[in-house]
Amino acid sequence: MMIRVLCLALACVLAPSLASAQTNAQPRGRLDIVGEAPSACVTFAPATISSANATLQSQGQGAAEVRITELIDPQTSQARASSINILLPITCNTAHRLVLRSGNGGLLRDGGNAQSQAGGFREFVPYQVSASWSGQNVSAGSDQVLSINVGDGAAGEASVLINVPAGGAPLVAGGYGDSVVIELRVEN
Amino acid sequence: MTLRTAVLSAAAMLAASGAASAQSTQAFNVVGTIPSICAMEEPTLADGSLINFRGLNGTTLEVDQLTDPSTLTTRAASASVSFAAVCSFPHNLVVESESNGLWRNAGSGAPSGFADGVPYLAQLAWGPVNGNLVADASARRANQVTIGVDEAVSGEIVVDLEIQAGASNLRSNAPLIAGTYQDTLRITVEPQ
Repeated sequence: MMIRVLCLALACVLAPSLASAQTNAQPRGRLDIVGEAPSACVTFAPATISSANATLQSQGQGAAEVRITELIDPQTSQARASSINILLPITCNTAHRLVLRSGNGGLLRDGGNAQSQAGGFREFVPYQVSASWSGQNVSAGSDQVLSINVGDGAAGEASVLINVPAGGAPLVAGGYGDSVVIELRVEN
Repeated sequence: MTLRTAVLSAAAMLAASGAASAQSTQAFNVVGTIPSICAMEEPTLADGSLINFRGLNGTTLEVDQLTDPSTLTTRAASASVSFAAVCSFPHNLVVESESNGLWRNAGSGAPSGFADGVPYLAQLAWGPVNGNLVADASARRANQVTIGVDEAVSGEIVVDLEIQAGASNLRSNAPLIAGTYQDTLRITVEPQ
């Protein structure tokens, strides 16, 4: 009888200690893993899908050159028709805008003047530009800025078509050039 | 009546009966209980274990560059995180991924061609046991692994995290839609 009482007394002493140990234990751990995918657009090397009297040459990261094989008809000095359709792989992971603009507004003779008509010759050749991206198509003369707004991320190939028309006033001899900038602007 | 009084009374009775040379013994059962304890501390980083992670801030482990800036696909990352722990009885180690991968917080889904989930692998080591939690980002749901531990263990629960290059919930090397990606790992030690 006394031993049992003694044991009960010991148990009474241990019980609060056990409860305390279990209450204080925190057998849980937590780890939050986070990362940010920043808004961005990337482009890859362009390719030609069709061309007439023009070729495309890559010039490294983010640049390429369209070279018109014969800018004029040697019999008349008038512009010969040329065209090239370029595919530009693009990945934008957020809403964005594609903007396409010409540096000169057309093919301009080196050191020339776009307005000059001296002697019935010209030194400026405007052309037509069309662009398709993410299901939208735009087209305008080379003196205008083309723009396509896309409300979400998009991945694929933008098509850019450059058409140089034949004819018009004869051209002054010289080298002609223009730069077409395709800009991708992240919108948020 | 106390125990001492009872023994003395018995001795007095034996002396009176003429058996003074007899010895009397009494066994006492002394019992005690070791409490069942499991405890775990906050996570810490193993030295030199970070690849493409910025470090541990409290319980938050942040990927430095989740995407490759030239392709927008997932960059590889890895880290080793430890939780000092003790468990004084056979138990289960339960590791749960809240979302089964890193998922973009905002928005619903991703446009065609983009991924919005990043799978990862958590390799676990705790005393005599090892295990894997494959958070494959196949669906946004809880995913857990339970590992039985048949003995008491004291030491560190080590979680080796690995994100593979190009990993995504769409296809290998799919670009990630922009946003913040997150998952929560919960590690629990519980009775079997």
